[in-house]
Amino acid sequence: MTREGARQHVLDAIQQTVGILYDQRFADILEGAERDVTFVELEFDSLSAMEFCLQIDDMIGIEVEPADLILYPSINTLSEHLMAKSVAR
Amino acid sequence: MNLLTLHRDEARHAFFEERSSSAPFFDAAMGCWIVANPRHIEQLLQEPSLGPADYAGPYEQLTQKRGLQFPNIQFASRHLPFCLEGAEHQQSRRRIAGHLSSRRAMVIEEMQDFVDTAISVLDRGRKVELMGDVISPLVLHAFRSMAESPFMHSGDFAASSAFFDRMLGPKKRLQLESKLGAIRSELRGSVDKISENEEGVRLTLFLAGYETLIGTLGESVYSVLRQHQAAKLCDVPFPDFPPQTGVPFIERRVAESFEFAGVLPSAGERLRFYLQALTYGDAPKAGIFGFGSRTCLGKQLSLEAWRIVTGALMRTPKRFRILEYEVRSDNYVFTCPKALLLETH
Ligand code: HEM
Repeated sequence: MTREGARQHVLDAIQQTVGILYDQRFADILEGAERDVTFVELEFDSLSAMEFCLQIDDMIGIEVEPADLILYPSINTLSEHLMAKSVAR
Repeated sequence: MNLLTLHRDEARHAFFEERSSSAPFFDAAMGCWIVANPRHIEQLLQEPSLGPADYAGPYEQLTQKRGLQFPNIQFASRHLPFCLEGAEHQQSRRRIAGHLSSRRAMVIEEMQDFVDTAISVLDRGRKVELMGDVISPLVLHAFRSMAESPFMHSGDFAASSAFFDRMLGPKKRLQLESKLGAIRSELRGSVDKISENEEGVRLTLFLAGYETLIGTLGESVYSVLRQHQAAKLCDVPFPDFPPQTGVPFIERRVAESFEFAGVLPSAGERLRFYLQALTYGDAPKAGIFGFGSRTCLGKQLSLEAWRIVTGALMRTPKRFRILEYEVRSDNYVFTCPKALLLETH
């Protein structure tokens, strides 16, 4: 998995979870801008964290836990983590 | 500051010192209020606007979203006092207290016999892993006797931290479900005509007491020994009360919004109380067992276990050196040494 690929999966899962599509604050991210955004800024709570984990598992079969969203607290850091996990598989 | 692992990080000492007189604050990453001021912990845990933390919520979400079923978690949630309120909570406490008082004397006697044999490893080998050779087997023995069932296996070890760990993903939650299922069927197999309540009591004692006791004994023994490296074990001045805790924090959910120390936790929000903060300075140390109507029911037994373990160490006229200490990192709930290796001579 490439870095871009991992980032796209993270964005898709975020979109499925909290739907940032119509939020102007994050519009540039969806257009592929490299800007990093934290899960706190995206207003993730424990419900969305769990939903996000389910989405990632459905999309790429990689197990992510709510703890990972604290240890890798932003789109880019989590993407790096997913990439490393996919290499380790 | 990463609050996910603060409780097992050396950075915690500075954190608790700095926060010892601060107001609660909201941590956005953890999504909850943090209370680390000992006075506030004591006051707030007796605050009627706070209800039990929601442990069942993530499972209900997985059932709704994915159709996954968790009958054993549901069973535990119906019986664990941590999940109950009002009259149900009181009834549950009464049943547990009744069971504990009927077994306590026997369990203490058995722990004493067990420790005398277990501690003899200090005579035999020069290297002793206190957790694996003495503390964990002792607590396992006590819990088997308390439940009147050989139901626990080493694989069950982490079931309790898993139950309270809100950071678990779906897969680990399913693993916990099947682990609880296995424990329950062993309980039903070994106790004749066990009622649902009796099963609930035994499961509660295991989930509430097993890892917490191992962790508290391990962390406390380590914290005393590290200050007396190279002394004779019989000369180490172990205090009467465990100086550390395996239960670094507990949580509550706000039932009704209220104002406290200039902050305003709203209904539905979570508060995390760092009981570890009570192990410093002149904080009310007994609070490591909680305050108010949810105070620990295993306190007396835990203090006996501490007396038995430290008593056995204090009968050992050997010098020691700590070769290795490593804390468990497989959960985000309890603190517990994975290894505490001593060399004796
Ligand atoms: C030294 C080890 C232990 C520590 C530090 C400890 C700590 C605690 C704390 C802080 C609470 C309060 C939880 C809250 O307010 O939410 C608690 C509750 C409880 N503990 Fe312990 N505990 C220990 C050992 C045990 C043991 C050995 C048992 C059983 C034999 C036990 C049984 C319980 C039960 C049943 C409750 C629930 C009380 C309720 O919710 O009403 N604990 N414990």
